[in-house]
Amino acid sequence: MNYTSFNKKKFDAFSQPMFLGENVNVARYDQQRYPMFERLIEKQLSFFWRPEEIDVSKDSKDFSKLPDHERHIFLSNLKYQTLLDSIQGRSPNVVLLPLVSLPELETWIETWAFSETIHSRSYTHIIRNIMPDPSVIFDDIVNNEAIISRANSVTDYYDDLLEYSQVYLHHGEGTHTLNGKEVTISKRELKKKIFLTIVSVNVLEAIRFYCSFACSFAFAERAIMEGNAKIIRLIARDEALHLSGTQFMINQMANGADDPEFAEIALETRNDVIAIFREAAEQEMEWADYLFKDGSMIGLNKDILVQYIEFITDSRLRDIGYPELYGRSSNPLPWMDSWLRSDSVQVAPQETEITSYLVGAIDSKVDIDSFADMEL
Amino acid sequence: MNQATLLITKRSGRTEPIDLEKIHRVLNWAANGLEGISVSQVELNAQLQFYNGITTSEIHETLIKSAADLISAEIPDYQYFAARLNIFHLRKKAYNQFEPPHLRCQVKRLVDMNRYDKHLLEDYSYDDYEQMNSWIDHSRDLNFAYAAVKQLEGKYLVQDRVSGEYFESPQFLYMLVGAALFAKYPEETRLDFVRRFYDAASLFKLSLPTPIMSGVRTPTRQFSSCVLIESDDSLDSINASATAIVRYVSQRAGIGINAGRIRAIGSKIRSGEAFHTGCVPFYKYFQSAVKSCSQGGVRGGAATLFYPLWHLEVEDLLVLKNNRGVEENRVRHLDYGVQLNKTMYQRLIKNGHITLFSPDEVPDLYDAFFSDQDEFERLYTTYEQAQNIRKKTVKAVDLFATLMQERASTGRIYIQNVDHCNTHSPFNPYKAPIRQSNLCLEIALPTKPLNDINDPEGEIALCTLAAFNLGEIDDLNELDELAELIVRALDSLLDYQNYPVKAAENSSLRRRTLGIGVINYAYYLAKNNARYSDGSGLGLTHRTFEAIQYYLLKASNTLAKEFGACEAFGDTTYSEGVMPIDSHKAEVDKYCGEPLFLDWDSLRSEIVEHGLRNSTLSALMPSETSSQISNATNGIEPPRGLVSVKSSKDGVLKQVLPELHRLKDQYELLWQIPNNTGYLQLVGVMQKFVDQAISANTNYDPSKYKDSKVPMQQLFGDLLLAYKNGLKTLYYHNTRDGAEEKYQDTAEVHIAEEEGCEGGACKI
Repeated sequence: MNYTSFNKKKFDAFSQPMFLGENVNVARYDQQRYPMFERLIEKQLSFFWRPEEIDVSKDSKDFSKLPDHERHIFLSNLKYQTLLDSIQGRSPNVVLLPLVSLPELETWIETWAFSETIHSRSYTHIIRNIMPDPSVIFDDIVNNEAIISRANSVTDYYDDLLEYSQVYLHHGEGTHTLNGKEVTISKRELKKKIFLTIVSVNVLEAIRFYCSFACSFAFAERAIMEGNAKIIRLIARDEALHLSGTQFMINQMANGADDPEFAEIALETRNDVIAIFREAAEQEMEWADYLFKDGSMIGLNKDILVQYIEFITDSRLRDIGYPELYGRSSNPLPWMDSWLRSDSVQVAPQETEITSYLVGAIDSKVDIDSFADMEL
Repeated sequence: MNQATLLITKRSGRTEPIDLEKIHRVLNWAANGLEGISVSQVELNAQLQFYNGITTSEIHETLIKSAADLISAEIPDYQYFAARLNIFHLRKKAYNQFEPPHLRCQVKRLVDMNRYDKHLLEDYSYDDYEQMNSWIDHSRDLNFAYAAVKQLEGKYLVQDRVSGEYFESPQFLYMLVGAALFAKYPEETRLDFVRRFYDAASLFKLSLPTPIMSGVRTPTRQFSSCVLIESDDSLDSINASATAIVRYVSQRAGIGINAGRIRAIGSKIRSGEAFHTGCVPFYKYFQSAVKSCSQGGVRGGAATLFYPLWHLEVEDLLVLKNNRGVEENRVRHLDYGVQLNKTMYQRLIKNGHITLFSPDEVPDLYDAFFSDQDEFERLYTTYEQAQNIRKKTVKAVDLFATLMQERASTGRIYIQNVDHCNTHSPFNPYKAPIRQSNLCLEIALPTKPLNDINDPEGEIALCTLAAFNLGEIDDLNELDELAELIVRALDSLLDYQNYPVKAAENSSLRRRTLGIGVINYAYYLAKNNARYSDGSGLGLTHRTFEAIQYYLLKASNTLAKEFGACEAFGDTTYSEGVMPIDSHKAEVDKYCGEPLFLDWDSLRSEIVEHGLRNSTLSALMPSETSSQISNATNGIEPPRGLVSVKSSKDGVLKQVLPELHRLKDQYELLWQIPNNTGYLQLVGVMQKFVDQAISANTNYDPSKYKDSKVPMQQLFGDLLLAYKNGLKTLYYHNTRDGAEEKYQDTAEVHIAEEEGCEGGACKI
């Protein structure tokens, strides 16, 4: 079955699963199997922001005063986040789109990946502001052992799925000889790879990102690097949305309503899923070790970040119906909540940019005649 | 971490094992008399963050943060506990000991360091200092809540921002502000004023603004919070305005810029010799001027720029702040005030058209927009018919829809009803028209453009602000004394301060304008069993603001008897015997039937006979930062949660509502209020008495509407209601954005449960 950019077949969109059904044809959103994706898209669009809105000029002054070990923490985080968002700005489109069979999911993936490109642009905005030569940072991302070793585990699932799905799309199921090697392709195996890839993406957005967020906000809790924290806060707002997207997909797959075969796969890969979470959590803990290798900062050190990783891993597992790994139910970083929600944030006028506004959530219908008799 | 082996680094650089007993002692001291504090919890939470080689100072800061994290609706006293620890730490840093020095030693030491004004030593004798020292009550430091101490630490206390050293504690600040302001009063009365002022300020009955708290007593002498600068349509004037902006931004002031006279793109220059580039490049120039100084780290430079809705370029100006578009056609770091009047609203509700003009082609129309509404209407319809004037006609509903869309999406496009600003004004609009407001839209003062920076004919308006803390007022008669203290103090400040621009000095000393407002209104309502949404607060608000304006006028009248009326008193409507209660919008009396209780007629005749020392007295400002000092709710705004998390330059701070346990069910939280109607009525009542303007916000929760979209119909309705109730200005447009983390185990902020999505971190 080849991928086609416009499927001319007629079929009932409501009968299609999220993945590996009919290729999508008309990008229509009037009828949808999963209105959840439409809501995610609307929300993401209304969140639209640009890093230039946030003034980061004070950060550069703050940065110049940071001791070396804190600079190391700050920059390492930025590097890691840059890497994660580089992957996320690209991979969902390249890897997942050819396999999608619902227009609303297709658009959600595109919208989601686009917002990640804004995040990447933000890192450039921040780095350009604090470093005289930004290349020092960007170049190190591919040289740094601690970062690269984590990158591998993030990209492995994507790459594996990409390779397998390309063969599937070109040659279909069965045993094929490619470059002298024999490859056996089955749709069921492909589904398994899709499922595990989405789990690993969920881990990336639900755990790995949050570990970095904690560091960014810890600086701002001490009233330094606050421009950076404001940007990260906008990023965190987007990531919370992406996270609900992947959690929704995992839950739909696992309950079998979307495609019964996925429910079987979810059951038989239960241990693999838990292993993915454990591996990610352990890697983040090693990362915590690397971050604080030269010294801690007020409010955050290796032990406490490890506790936070345990807490967040447990709660993310609960969200998709898996057992906890660490039994840590209370949040060791309660101040993180203040940064992760905007409901209760009041802002001193003009002194800081309001980060809580929505773009375009207005119903533009007006019945002006109803005001005609109003006495001014 | 094993504490037995934990080593700490002393100030001297020496390391030694941690002495836990010392920590226990300080924590127990701070917990004394507070409810629900677990010293052990604080220690346990803090110890995880200790590491070998940690300094004593870092240990202390970690303990403070650990205590601050425990602040919650259940145990609000952690905010006092954390504050006391912080005060302890601060005093150690400032004095190397907990006990503050004698007042005179403190002043001598800081004058020698050139951190206090040397006049403090010259103006008062040893005996005076002995007196003042006996009145200082340092135990009042322990009344601060945590958010207050962080604000004091960040913004107000005299410190070296480069080295991070501190030099004073809060009670010195309050006493010396009073001493500095009353220094020129007669010797037989001044110490009494200093003592009364100190008590009112340090017991939080009066709230002082950032520039006064941080600046009075130091060698800096510019304290106006608000500056209004008007630009003319010439290059000289635009340059002079930009220079004035830079001078004031560098002195910590927020700026209002009236750029409404600048001609539209494509206008002729020198009879068509050149083609005008329009407003945007000049707005950008003003933006650069505003952002050129960081205000000494105290506040970031900020400005609101004003233009009329009927400006020929308005469609391009309305979008300047949004995210679409590119750098070239956006000027995002300014806020904007769009000016409207009845003619504009009439065109909207009659579904008519609005004609846009370039102000330079209709100069008399631009003048009449502010000074004479009937003349404006006449000229506007005449010019609409005129053949040889450049113009553009747009549907009123489309233009207003763009305005409201941009206001909604940026939150920072404001509204100024220029007719209300001039018809219900303390100034005679023919002599002193009001052509703009300020950064936060609570000031309405006359301005005149400058042609060069030293132009004595120009007029830059300054406003000196302060507020009554309504939460600390039990009887409205107390306002009599408090009004006298604050009017005297601010009036002295006008002579005490320096003026970086001549045009500002002239107008300030001629008009002597003050803007005294309120904080803690939400607590005041709750305490008096009244609410925002159901009209139960209307009578109370009417009585309260009547008393505020009455006693302020009375105080200024008393000052006029002592020192003479201000020179430009003749420009005011007060001089004609017109009080705010004579010019307010009649609509207010339709929904609020509360009678007047005070003797306005005798006050009126006293004012006509002796005049006023100050042309204006009241303005209701947002006061976010300064209300944190008094642990009060912000200005007249409803609180967002029982525990509010506030972000400011000093990071994120938790603040618990006053008397939370007793009044939990009385408080009405922002997102519980069903719509803006009740609030806009209350503001209408306040505006009846307030002689300048009010920073009033509108709030929208999309989840309350179909498809989670706020209807434009609603935005129009509120805009028109605000006008109808006589509001002069509208400030923020707040939208509830629903991005929230679900792992909220501290239950600290009331969040109305929205329909949940299937396990997402956001609610959709």
